[in-house]
Amino acid sequence: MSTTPQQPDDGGFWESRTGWRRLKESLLLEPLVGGSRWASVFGSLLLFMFLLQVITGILLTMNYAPSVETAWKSVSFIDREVPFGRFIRALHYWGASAMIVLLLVHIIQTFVWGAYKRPRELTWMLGVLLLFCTLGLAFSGYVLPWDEAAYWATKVGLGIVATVPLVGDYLRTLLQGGPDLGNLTLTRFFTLHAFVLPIAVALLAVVHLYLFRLHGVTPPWWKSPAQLEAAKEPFWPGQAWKDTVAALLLMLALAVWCYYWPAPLRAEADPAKPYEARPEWYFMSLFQLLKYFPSGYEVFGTFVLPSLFFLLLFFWPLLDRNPARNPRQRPVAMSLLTLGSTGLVSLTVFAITTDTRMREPATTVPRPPPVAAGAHQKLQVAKLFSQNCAACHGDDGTGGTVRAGMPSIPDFASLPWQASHSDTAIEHLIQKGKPPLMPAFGEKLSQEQIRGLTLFIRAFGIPARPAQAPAKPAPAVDALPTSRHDARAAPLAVRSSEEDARSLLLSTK
Amino acid sequence: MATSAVVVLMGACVAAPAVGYILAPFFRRRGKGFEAGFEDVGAVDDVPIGAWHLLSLELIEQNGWDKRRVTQSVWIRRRGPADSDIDVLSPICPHLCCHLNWRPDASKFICPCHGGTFNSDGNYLSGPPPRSMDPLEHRVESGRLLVRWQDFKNGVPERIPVLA
Repeated sequence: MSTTPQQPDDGGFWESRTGWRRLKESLLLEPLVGGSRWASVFGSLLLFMFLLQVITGILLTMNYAPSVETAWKSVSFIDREVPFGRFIRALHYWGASAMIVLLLVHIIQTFVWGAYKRPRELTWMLGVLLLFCTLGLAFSGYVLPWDEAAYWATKVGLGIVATVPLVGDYLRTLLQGGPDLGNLTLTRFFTLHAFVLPIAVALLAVVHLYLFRLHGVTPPWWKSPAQLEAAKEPFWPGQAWKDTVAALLLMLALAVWCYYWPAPLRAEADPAKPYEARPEWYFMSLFQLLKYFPSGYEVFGTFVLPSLFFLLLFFWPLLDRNPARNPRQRPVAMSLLTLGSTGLVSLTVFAITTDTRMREPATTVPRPPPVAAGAHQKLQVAKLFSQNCAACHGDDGTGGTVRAGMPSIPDFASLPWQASHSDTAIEHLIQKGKPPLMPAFGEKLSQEQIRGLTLFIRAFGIPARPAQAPAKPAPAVDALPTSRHDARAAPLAVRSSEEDARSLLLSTK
Repeated sequence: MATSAVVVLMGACVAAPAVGYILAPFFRRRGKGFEAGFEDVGAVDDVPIGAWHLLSLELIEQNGWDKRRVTQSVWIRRRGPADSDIDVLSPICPHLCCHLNWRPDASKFICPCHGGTFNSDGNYLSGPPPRSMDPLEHRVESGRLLVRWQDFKNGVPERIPVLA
């Protein structure tokens, strides 16, 4: 009698223990009536974009700190110091726009296709809820960097919430968390943005997909059942290939876009500073709508019309009783679609093209009259420096960007360098150059210009500090903040020339 | 049936405290949002007579656990040399809370968002705002102008102070 039990062929180690092959088949071998098509990639693209938002969002959360004190600083840190931080944040920021564009395409396509009709009404309604959640994500994410744009846009957004009849005030208090926009607003919006809404989207999307699989893809209306049956093919590999290629193209386009257009970050929020609040482009139609309702009828623009629009969209499959899917046989639905989308598009375009911004906030705090410029100030030394020197020495004078290739380039911000070079030596270097890399400027620049540049270079040695009124006496060097270098290490000779440079700078302001 | 009851009970055990937790802003325990006193905006004589000027005041705001100094700006105009000739307006638009700008070229306050306009006394002229600009209480003490900051409910014709 054999002691080794006979194992049936069960598909190998992993299949017998996990059933992954059966899982894969049930996920990927869904039969598609009418075959794979490029036109059906948009749902998959939305899923892909959502995953990208989740990934970039998690990455941003690693460095983001939601509080009034830290939000702006942490976002600025992500942009300026974290490797790829600017790119990751741009992906997240523009990813939101991309998602909204894809949503619009997906919704319009579903509408034209008649894909919301029996038995797919609930799939459509879940889709509208997903749209609503996505807009909520966009709105709640906008405040998180806590820059001026975020602060004022959210203040207006909460003002809009407060106009909702009966419950508006409570709703605002609930969202705002405190008496005014502040820490509690940030933590609440962060919770909504990073947990509540993404989880809602994930759950809704699962049910949306389940219903989609249950009823199958909506076949083209112009083909007979026999034609559809003949063209039937599984999701894998045809549609999977098309979805993946489309996702890759989208990803590449987004990456290129984000490389050239990083996400904006305005100055840190300041309630006392006037700022012209503007929403993102996808809310510009609503923004424009608000302008049309005169005193006393604001609630129509802030609440009534947008709610009616969403209710109509949500319940549309129940309202449209026409069984035909061919757009030619659905005049009412098609004219409503044309009317609605023309309205939205033209409101948006009109809002953006007619949007007048003030050139600068019209504050009327008196300004000191301009100081008459002296001979050196008229030289525009800063311009001279950026035209002649900044290419190698950098705008900040540290030469940091080219140091790898030019190890001998000096760091003007270094106090030891400033201490070891007299004014005459610097003038001489500019005039005669320093072979092999530093060119001579004696032919190109006048004596005054070289003298001005020398003073300008001296100014790099002054540690960064907040601007101060020229009337006050300059503080002792020892008391200055020494962010870059330790001033205590600098010899006395530098202090005097540093003082000179500082007083020169202050007098030019 | 019994199982459903248990599930409902369990759900209630989580839901009731969760709802209370979320509704926290309605049960604030630390009193007023900001100390609604009169705050110094500067010396009266520093404000030239005639036009509107944007000055700022600092108030201490209690926002849950967080107590901080917050700067707000106010529009100030001196119509004459007397202390009683001072107008102080909140810069927050009564429509949807944008920051109103004084445009000397048009002699109007203009909302940079939705285009509401107010005349040089802050009275409603045109656009969506439901009422005129909100005046703020103020007084002069030993040459210093003191203003009491106040938020008002937006989007309604009546001027209702928002209790902080």
